[in-house]
Amino acid sequence: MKKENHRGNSGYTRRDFLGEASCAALSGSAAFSSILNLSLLGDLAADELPVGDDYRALVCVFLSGGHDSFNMLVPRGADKYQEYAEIRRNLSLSRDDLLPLSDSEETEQELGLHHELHKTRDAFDSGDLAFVANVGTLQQPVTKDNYNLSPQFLPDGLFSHADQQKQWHTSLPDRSSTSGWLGRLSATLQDLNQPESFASAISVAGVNLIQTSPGVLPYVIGNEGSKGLVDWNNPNWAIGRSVVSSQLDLEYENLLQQIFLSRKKDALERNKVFSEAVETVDLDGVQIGGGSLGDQLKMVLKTIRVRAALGVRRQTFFVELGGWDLHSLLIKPHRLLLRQLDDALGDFQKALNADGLADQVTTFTASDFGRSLTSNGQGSDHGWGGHQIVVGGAVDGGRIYGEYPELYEDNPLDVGRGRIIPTTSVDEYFAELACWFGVSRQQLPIVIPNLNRFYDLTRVEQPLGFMNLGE
Amino acid sequence: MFIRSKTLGFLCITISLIHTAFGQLDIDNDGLSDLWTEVYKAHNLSADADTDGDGYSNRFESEIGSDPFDPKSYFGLNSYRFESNNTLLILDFQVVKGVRYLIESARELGPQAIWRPETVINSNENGPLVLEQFIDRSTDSTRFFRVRQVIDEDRDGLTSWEEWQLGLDDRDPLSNGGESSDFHWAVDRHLVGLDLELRDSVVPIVFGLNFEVRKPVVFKGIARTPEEVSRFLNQATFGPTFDMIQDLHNSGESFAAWIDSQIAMSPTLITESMEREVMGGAIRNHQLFHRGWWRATAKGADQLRQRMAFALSQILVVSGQGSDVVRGSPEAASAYYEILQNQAFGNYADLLEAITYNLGMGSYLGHLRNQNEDPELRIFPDENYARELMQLFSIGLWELNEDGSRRFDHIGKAIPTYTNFHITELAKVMTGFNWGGTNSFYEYKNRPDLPMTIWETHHERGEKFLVNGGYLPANMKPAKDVRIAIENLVNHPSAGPFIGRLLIQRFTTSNPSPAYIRRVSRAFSDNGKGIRGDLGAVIRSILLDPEARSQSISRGERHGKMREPYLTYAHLSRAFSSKNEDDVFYILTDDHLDYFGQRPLMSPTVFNFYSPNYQPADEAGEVDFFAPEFEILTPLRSVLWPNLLRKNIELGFAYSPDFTHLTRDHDFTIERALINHPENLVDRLDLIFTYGTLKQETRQIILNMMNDAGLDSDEKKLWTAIYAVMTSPEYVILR
Repeated sequence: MKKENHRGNSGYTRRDFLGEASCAALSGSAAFSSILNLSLLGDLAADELPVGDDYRALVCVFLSGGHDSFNMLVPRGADKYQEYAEIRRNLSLSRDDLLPLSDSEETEQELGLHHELHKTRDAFDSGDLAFVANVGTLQQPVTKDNYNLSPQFLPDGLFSHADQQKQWHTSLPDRSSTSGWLGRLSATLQDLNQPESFASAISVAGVNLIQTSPGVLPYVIGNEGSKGLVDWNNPNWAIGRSVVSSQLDLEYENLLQQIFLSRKKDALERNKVFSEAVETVDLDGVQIGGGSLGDQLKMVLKTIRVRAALGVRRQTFFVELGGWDLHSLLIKPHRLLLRQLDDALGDFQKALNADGLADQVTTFTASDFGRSLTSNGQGSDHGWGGHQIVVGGAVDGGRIYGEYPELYEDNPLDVGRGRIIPTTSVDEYFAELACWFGVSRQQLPIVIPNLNRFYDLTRVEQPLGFMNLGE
Repeated sequence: MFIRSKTLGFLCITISLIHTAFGQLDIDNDGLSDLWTEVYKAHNLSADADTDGDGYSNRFESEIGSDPFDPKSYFGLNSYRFESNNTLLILDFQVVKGVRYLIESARELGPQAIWRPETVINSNENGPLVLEQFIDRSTDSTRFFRVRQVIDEDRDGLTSWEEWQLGLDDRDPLSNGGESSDFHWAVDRHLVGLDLELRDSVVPIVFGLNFEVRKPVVFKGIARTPEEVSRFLNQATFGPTFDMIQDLHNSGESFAAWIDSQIAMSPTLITESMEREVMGGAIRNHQLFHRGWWRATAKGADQLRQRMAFALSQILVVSGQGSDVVRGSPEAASAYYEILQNQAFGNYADLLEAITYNLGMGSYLGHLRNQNEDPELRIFPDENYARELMQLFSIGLWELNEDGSRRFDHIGKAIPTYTNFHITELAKVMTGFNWGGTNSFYEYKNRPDLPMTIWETHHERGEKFLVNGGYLPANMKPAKDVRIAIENLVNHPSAGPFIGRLLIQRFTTSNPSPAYIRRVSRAFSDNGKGIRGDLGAVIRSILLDPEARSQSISRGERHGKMREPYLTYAHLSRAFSSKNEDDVFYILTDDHLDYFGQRPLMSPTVFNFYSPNYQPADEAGEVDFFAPEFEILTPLRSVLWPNLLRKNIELGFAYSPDFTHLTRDHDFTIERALINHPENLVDRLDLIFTYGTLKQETRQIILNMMNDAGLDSDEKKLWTAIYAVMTSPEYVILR
């Protein structure tokens, strides 16, 4: 079946497809259910879509504001700790408080975790969780000399929140782009989902660029799921429903007016499908801590449970925890944020394990940038490279990937005040996840266009190796 | 001036001829169009004389384009009569070649009347014109008529007659095909070397003609429809009321004069209501600030100032999400917001200076207690405020041309306005700030209402290098460092186009043309008196620009902006002015971020609720088509917002989430009286909310609903009509 790309459009194709020319009925529940009935389409497409075990989801946990991850993953060896404490001064954690990590392979790196990260440490020890060290946005590999002499090799708008967030979303630090890498990933693999499914990209944290590409717009829901118009099925509001339904059938020449109308129409159609599916899920026994991040992940879990009803075999999720831009006060707020992150990620993984979905869902963190190692009083400033967490049953965990950098001041990666040049690009980090999600070698450059600047696409080995592809 | 004809029995017909003027090409300022003077060889005529003795002054003849030497050349009514059982009006009136005439009708007379166009005539000849006008009497028994000569429909400063003479189009201010207005084009073409501003500041002279005496009577009114007045007020306020539209329509005040009077008005401040409430025992929490904001928004007469303050609060972002001081202390929040209110039409450098010292800003972007470099302790000045001051508050990331486009270097790469070096340098300027009312850098005093003080002891003493070659020598007074650094930014060539575009997007259109941005940039560069950064001049330029005022441009497929969700909500609170005369606006705003994605001083990040460069992916293939407000219109919100709106239409405003504690009721007296005249009700709503742009289909949908003899109460029909209008694309997209 040919796939129609008209997400965000009016849905007329669907109606035409079903032979439902302008549906006249405004009585009962017919007005929308006829347009909306995706399950009917689902039946039509069912024979080519064995929804079942072959399900994979990527969950992006965006730590917005720029995570000071050099206080998450900290050197424990005596010399290295000394260098760390030397540069971080009043921002340094006590060596005794660090949770030791047993990194079997990289013996030279004796690293510890922030003392709030108990669940994270447990997952690391049990092999479900890995760290990727010193990742960041790069146009191409650069040295300190390049930094000082050749600004054209640097990402646009380095150290700026808006630009760096955008580049973590697009994986294109050298240009302005209206598509994100998860969006391109969904578009590349959309044949695996039902043609009309809007659920290939779900955001519990607002509209975002990372899941967007031509033809893919994330379906944005709240912690409580999606909502429709109040009283839609209440006979007491029949006149309201009738008026709204008729208004939705109008057409507008002005682009903004048309987009506005389409969004509302889409919202009503999708809500119907989504709510009916999610209504069936009972998560009463499941506890996911970590405040709002936990609530978002709980909604993700609910959505994953109804993947068959939503007609998806490949799904991306976007959740967000803000508050990391700790310029004026780092230590205490950072601890509280890490506690939330630890609870949310740990409990979410536990729930996935209980559902038997551990191998099918991979959760990863991303953030605007790392932060300066030096202090500006009580906090730290915008930096560049930082460390990220990957967790899931398919993760080859218990290890640290990439290179943990030197931290002493003015080292070859320090471009000033302990802003560290990344040694692994976001492109490699994302490409590894994309490979696991199911894109072929040939498709990789579509998803991560700059990848060949960091990775030889003919190589047999995966870009970083932290995902177990299970072949 | 309205004459009721007694002979027609039940069908009351009134005819009035009104002609109005907006501007004309009058470089020598003698009150007569220079073009008209040339065409009729009318040199050396006095404006106030009536050379041909036809009863019309030369000034008047110049504006309508008639021949000052021909007594038969004028605009006026010769005769009218009704035929065919009063369904046909036959009108004989004197016209001038090349201009447009508008036949309008209304269902009633007086200040509540809404005049709607019936026929538009382009005259091809001088002399008498006979018109047969069919009258649709199916909907009402009474109808009044008037005829108007269109003088300057596109308000570009040239009269309709002048444009016809020059081969231009009076419906399009840019009909010369170039980027400058028709007026400027005409000036450039015919009178090179004269540097003139658009004459929209001239108080328009408007005439009304009483057909019985056929003499011009000075009528204080302007040639614009109530719809155009409403459109202007929808752009410039938190939403007009019916009375506000009628007042401005009938007063004849020009839009420019209205803006001037708004600028002159003293601000309705937040603290006014906060203080009153605290005296009455209210708790000092964040809601206190929000109630003060709503009172100013819903009730303040200084609407343009309130809109400007809200717009500025979305550029110079301070947020309770990210600052405990702003969230926790209503005094700190209002102290910040009042800077925006007070300086809404002030100088941009003064504004930036004031917010730099503001405690809320200091706590939000980190220069509160920011200190000079301490190499021993490895402490460096916090860079956050320095960065955002450049990136978001003044010059942006890229060097811009006057029209907002990026400048490129010799290899075609965009040029950054600053590097990280400049940030670390400017960060040094922003050191030494502490709470106000203190005696040293380290002292703490809980005075959130005071500006911060800057202490020399912890201010970086060394020299500082600024963008664009700016330089601060060592050991300057801290306050001088700050002032010069800010002036350096405001004087940067990118500041005008950068801030200008952001403000245009808040008021009129998401996608201004380069020429529009350039005109606003120029107003930023020079307010006409050689002063740079005058925000009053900027807002005048934004609202009076041909691109904002032209009706033909406004009908373009890409023109306009989505109303910020909060604006629609504020409009509801204003349109049906509350019966609750309590001077405090009790409204629960806790959920507003969830419902609208907006709440004053509560942006999720320093990047505001939405990005000025957000491009909706809905329409693939549209390159560089921006629609900032759509970023917060998630599918979820596109139903949450109408759900809450409906509740508020039906129940009024409430101070409890379950709507048990209602605090403001709507006054639907007039609307209720119109329920049995659905056409008139829809006319009224269409005027207030959609300035006459409600689609015929939408109108019919609402009329069908109202005429449906169902069991539903009148009240429910009324609610549903308002809801249908306020959630329609015609309303939500302002254009």
